[in-house]
Amino acid sequence: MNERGVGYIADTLVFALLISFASLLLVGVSPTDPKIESTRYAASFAQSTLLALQHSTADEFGGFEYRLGSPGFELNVPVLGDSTKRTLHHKTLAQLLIEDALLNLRVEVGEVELELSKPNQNMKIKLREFLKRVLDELVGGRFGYRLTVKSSPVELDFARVYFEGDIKNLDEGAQRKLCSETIVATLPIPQDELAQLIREVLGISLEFEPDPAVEITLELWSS
Amino acid sequence: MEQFSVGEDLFATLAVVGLLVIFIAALAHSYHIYAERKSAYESFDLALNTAEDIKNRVLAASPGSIEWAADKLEDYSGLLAQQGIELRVEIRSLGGEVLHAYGSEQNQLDGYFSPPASASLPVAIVRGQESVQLCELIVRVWRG
Repeated sequence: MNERGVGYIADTLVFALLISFASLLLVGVSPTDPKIESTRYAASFAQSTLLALQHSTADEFGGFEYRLGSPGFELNVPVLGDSTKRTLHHKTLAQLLIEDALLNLRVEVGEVELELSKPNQNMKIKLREFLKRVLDELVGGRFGYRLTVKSSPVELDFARVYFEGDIKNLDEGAQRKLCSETIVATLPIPQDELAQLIREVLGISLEFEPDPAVEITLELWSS
Repeated sequence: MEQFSVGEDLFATLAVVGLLVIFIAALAHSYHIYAERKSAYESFDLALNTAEDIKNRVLAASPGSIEWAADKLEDYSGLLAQQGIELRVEIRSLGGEVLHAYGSEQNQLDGYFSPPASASLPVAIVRGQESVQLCELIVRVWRG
């Protein structure tokens, strides 16, 4: 083989090297960032879920009912019959989520959170179980989720009062928060009743009417 | 004048041409993967846009709820068909049962040349008076 032949081979090898470099670039480069796509889908999914929860009733998922009492002790006295039983079949899932938050009054004095006696614990536990089952069916399997319901805080001279509840299903595989969507709903009880509820728990009289709006936030996580 | 040596030069030529062919095939394959991925993203984007459009506009009863209307879907499908896009819409219960469906399934041969993309969103479907059911809206699109 003469020198010209060696030159041709060298040129071809350089050319082949350039082609393989281009191939590697093409394989590595993604036309769109997959994170953007998954985030966009998750945001749309979360928004649709929050809106759909405002329409569906508990009845659709077998209904929700509970007996008055506390954990381990139910007022299941034959004489009382079904008078201790409460059925909430007609309530929408969003209303039940807000009720769950209403059962969880939080009072902060300074930076310290006060431990309050929690009435209706039995309902709270059953409601949580029910709502988690519904959300697992709707969202679980595709995404990890955290659904938070929080009222606007009522600022008092000495304390900060708000209602809060959250239901989540974040397994160890949950890697990254994809999105957080929020809708604002109104509390299903009138303002004066809400003020009375706070009065009963704190033992003080309120001379204002707290804002009855609540934020329902759904965070979706990649699983 | 240089002498042409059949053994060495022919072997070198064949080796170089063979090498080139292999590398060019690799380049073509890489481009194919890239184009396929790009097409998949674009198709998914189209499916998601279509699903949002159907949920929020075409079948919308109120924000978050829809009312099934095959005639509205037919009009919408006609608009997509003008752009060469085929559509299939399904409403499935959370248990997976098909409650409503519109549009034909893509046949296998078409699926080979234009793979379908689908997107699903949760919706509440109005069924009768004041009765709604939580379902899943599944939209599948492909180029016809």
